Amino acid sequence: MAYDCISINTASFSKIGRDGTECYEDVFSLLPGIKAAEEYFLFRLVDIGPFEAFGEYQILREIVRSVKSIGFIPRLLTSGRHFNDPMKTKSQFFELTRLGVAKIVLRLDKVGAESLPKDHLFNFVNACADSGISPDILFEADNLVPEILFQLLRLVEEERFYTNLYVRAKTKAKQSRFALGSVVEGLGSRAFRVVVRADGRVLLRTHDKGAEEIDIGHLRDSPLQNIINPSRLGIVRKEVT
Amino acid sequence: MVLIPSDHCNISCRHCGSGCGPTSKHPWNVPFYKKCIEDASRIPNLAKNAHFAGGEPFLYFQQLLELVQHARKHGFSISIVTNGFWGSNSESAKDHISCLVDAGLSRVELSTDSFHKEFITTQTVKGAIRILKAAGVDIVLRVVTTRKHMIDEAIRDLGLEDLDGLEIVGSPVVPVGRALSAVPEEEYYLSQSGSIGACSTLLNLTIRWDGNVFPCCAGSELIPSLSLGNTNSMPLNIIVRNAEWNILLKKLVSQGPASFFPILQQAGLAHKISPQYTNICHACTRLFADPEVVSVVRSWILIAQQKSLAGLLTKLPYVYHERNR
Repeated sequence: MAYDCISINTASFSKIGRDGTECYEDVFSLLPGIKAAEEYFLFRLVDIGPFEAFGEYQILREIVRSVKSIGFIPRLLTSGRHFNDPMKTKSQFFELTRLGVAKIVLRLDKVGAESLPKDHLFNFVNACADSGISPDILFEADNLVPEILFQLLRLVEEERFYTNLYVRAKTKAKQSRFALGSVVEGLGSRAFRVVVRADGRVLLRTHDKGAEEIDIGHLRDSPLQNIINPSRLGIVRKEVT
Repeated sequence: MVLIPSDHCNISCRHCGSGCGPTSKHPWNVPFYKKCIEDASRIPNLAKNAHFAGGEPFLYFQQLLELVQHARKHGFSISIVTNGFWGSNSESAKDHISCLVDAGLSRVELSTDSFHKEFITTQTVKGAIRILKAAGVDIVLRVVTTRKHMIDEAIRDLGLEDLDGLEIVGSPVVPVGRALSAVPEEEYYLSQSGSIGACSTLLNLTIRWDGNVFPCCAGSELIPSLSLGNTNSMPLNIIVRNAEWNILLKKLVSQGPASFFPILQQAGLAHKISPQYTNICHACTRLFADPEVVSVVRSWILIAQQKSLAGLLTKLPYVYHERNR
């Protein structure tokens, strides 16, 4: 198994991205490729976001259903900006978890945390609790843990008694491009995730020993399962122990 | 599978529900746990993770290492819970962690909060985090909290270099064991909805040093009436198989401890139900530590078993008739 999991940009699910640029294709067509490559993944986990999975709820629901139907577990990442209505948030979370969502992660940094209205935070936390999932927060910090994170944690704890936090230092990934005939170093032993960008680019990303991002191909040139085939990337597959 | 080979700990935290401390000593019984690991490896629907808890497992390093090696050999992934006291002696700690990683350790749950900090300094915890990170071990910070000692208090002194890459789990102190007398009542998180919920996600196979097997390590292991059986008198696979038919366990798993409230009310034991609980674990341990409650529930189970048996018997002529038709 070469990769931990796969991350898909939700913008890929619409033809036009949030910034107005054209997206490569609708990602529903990616799903057969993910299924065909399932043996390459240690965890059959699809991260949907990576910053905002919500917004187009009807599409999100279909993505979740489709991901689940190929035997992968969907995990959603969100900024919390759409959680203004408590009842709507609850019913969406309830439905999504019944459809197979394992986690809904509130992904914040200092700016995102400072601008997140308190009621959005409470709606997220309560919707998680009522749906039987833990209110996970992923916080990305620049160089210090800011006071806003502690304030946010206190609010969550006061509301539901429980907190679940992942802290990550923001890193600028070292970019590189895979050249045919070369070798992706550490594949099969380091923790890699496959990242599908909205524009159709496919990357390998690692966080251990400094973030690294390797551009390994484009969906316009080849199906996903071929792009991420470990033998194409120059290694004989090794089991992760 | 959670292994609790001893309740011996180097510190005696005020919040500790298990009452662990330096005076409670049960030496690790390595042959006994080796046998448990072997038996558990043959249980088909048991997730193959061996989690070493306590007490403080690092007080028995050689025994811990031997059992980690044994569990790994039998296909288990390994995690250990610790207070990280060894982080103050970085040289020997590095060697110890390195040995454990070579033996198969992949994850450590590090307990640190205001209660642990009465004994273990932040510097020591930082040392433990650094050593674990260098060894490539996944770290979960386990933080228990009260209204007075909230999660931020526990992690404020840790810098981004310490917290980076960690999972931090905050959960409320449950008023059981030592906590009941050593943590002021007004500090507890309690709510009317605390008893709502079921424990399907909390289930595991917890094996204590005395051979008793429990369905979780969230408090049931402290309550003899919730024991599923003892490995000294019954093989582990039989205990697990019997658990599948355990009506009490089924009700707890599917409906939660609050589902017993109507039974208690009917039996005139409404006063045994608290208006507020911290969580379902609090409700469960509180109820099943009470002999009167246990007696009523046992009678209810007996009646439930008789009813289901009677139901089966009434269907027998029909089954017999259908088979011979």
